[in-house]
Amino acid sequence: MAGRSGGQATVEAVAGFAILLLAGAVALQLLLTGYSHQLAEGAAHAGAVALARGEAVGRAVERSLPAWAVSRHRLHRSPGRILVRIRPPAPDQRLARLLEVSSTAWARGPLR
Amino acid sequence: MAKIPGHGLPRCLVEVGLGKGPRPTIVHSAAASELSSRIGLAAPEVLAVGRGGDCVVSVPTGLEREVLDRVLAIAGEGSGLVIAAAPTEYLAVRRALDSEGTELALFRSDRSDPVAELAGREAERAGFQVRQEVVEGRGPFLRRRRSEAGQATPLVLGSALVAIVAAIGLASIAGAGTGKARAQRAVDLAALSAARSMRDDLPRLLAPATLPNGLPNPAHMPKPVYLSRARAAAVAVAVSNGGSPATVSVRFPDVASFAPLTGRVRMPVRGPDGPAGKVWAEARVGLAGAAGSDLAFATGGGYSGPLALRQGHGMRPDVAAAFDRMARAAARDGVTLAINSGYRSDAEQAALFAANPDPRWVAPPGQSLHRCATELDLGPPSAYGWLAANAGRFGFLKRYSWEPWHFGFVAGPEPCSSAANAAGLVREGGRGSAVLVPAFVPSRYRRAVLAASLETGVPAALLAAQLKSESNFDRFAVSPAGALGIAQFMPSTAASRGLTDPFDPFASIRAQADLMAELIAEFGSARLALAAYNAGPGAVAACGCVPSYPETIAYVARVLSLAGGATGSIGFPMEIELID
Repeated sequence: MAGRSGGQATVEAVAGFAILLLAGAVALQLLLTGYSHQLAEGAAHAGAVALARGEAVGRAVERSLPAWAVSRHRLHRSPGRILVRIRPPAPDQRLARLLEVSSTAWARGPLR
Repeated sequence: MAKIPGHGLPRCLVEVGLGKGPRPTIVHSAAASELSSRIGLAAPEVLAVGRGGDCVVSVPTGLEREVLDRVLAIAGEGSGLVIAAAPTEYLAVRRALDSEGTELALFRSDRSDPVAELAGREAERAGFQVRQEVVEGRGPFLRRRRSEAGQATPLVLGSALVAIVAAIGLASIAGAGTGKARAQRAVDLAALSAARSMRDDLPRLLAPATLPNGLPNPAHMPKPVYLSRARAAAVAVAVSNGGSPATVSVRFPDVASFAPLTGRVRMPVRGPDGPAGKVWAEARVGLAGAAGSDLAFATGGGYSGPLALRQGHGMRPDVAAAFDRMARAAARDGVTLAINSGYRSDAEQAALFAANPDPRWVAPPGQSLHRCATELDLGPPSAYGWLAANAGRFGFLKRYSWEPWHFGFVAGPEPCSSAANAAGLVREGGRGSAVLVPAFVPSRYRRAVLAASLETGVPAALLAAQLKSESNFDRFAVSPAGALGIAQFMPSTAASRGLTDPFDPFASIRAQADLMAELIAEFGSARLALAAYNAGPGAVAACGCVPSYPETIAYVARVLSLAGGATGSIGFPMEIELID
């Protein structure tokens, strides 16, 4: 009976640890996604500032991002509008695409 | 010591089914020994010290019935005995008993444990309050393990839940924290957009309201329209970025000037509990760079006068007009002309010569024709052939046979001559008759401005723009700081320059021109001279730049805009910046 009980305790401990790990991973992914959103907001703002100042928008957006995010961002421009999308770090590319965050900022650009 | 009523015995706790071995375990104490003797068992094995005089009897599995019968017989003689079933040794249960006293009989068992049920019934019959905890399972050990697992699992799940909630909480805190930051960004962009609008509309604001023939100038933009467009740009951007149109406030701190260049945007911030204050931002149009070469005016050695910019390079206005014609002709032939160098001040030439100290290729400072603002280094190499064949048609001459890129303008006044400086006072593209005294100068002062310009070499447009900015040509103007007259001299400055009556407009204009000529000579650029005129020479000399006083920055930008850039004939880089 003691062996059977010990086995169950082990199973419970392992399962509990796995659940804890999973919860930690979910929490970390949430944090990374939120951080990516913050970065996207900052980048869109930097791009909009550059737009208003008549400077290079793409360069301003890239300068505002940390190195790891530069290759994970996409910039979309339309008149007066800067849209930055960032794929947060994730264990799987599909998950990263699913969790992609974006931010838009508006500014008046120079007259053409 | 609590005694069992009627027996002089202490209240005892009897644990059933836990003791090891065939004998019951009785905690050693006098009371326990007495109980033990009355039960009729041999001296008990001492396992632990009893708790405060109480006694604990652990009855081994297999002897429950026999021992219980004896215990219950004793209990039947009184009512002070506590009977409990296994596993009361479990710490939590012991603590429960400790806190609740022995008036409570507590036993835990599964439903199929007849001994435990018997103990419970007997205890209840004896008048004790009985609390039964039913634990499913077959053995005390297993039950105990299950009990621990039952606590560990919620602990793990709870930890996981806490971790997720913490993550969500952090995210929401970050979101709440950025609420104000987001509003700040919105007003930043709104203020920048207002400044952008002003920057774009500035030439039209400063364009003459009427044409020389007296008709309204369609290119002119009235100041109210200029401001309303800037306001609309700011509000539109603020709303697009999450603001509410009803709450966005746009103001222009320098609205009283003839060319406001600063926009300020305010917006309230709403928190979860209501208003959480306001955010604001201010942006202005300024000159690009606080120092550096002055691209609007050439001063000092060589040519002195306004510069026209082409492809970022300065040149005399009549040279620029000729270049435009030549570039158009080249474009028709499929050739794109590039300017690699134009006007170079002596300082720039010195730096160039220092880097390439070979007179065959770089003239020493003071000897280069580039200081005359008539020379252009053109390219690309593929255009050399076209230039050699056609530049002469537009007044350009290839200066040196070994420099196929270097062309000088020879169709106008001689380079670096007084006539050339006078040519700078002629409106770009003009025929020599339209002297560049801007149309906004009142007719009664035009002659005085022109004369001061010709005598001091300070461009008339610059003097005129200064006068408009200082006093709007009001000869009796008095500033809050005490500056007097059309040129806004401080009394001490006026006295030091021998200007006895600052309200004399003609004397003041001449004194203004003299002072500007001295400042241009001292600081080497019209930009710094204007800054020194406004903020004092000391502040400019201290940093070698336009001091970072908002008023001075706006003054320089405004005057230079009006003097040159506004007419479209002379350009210089302007930038939009947020004010800290």
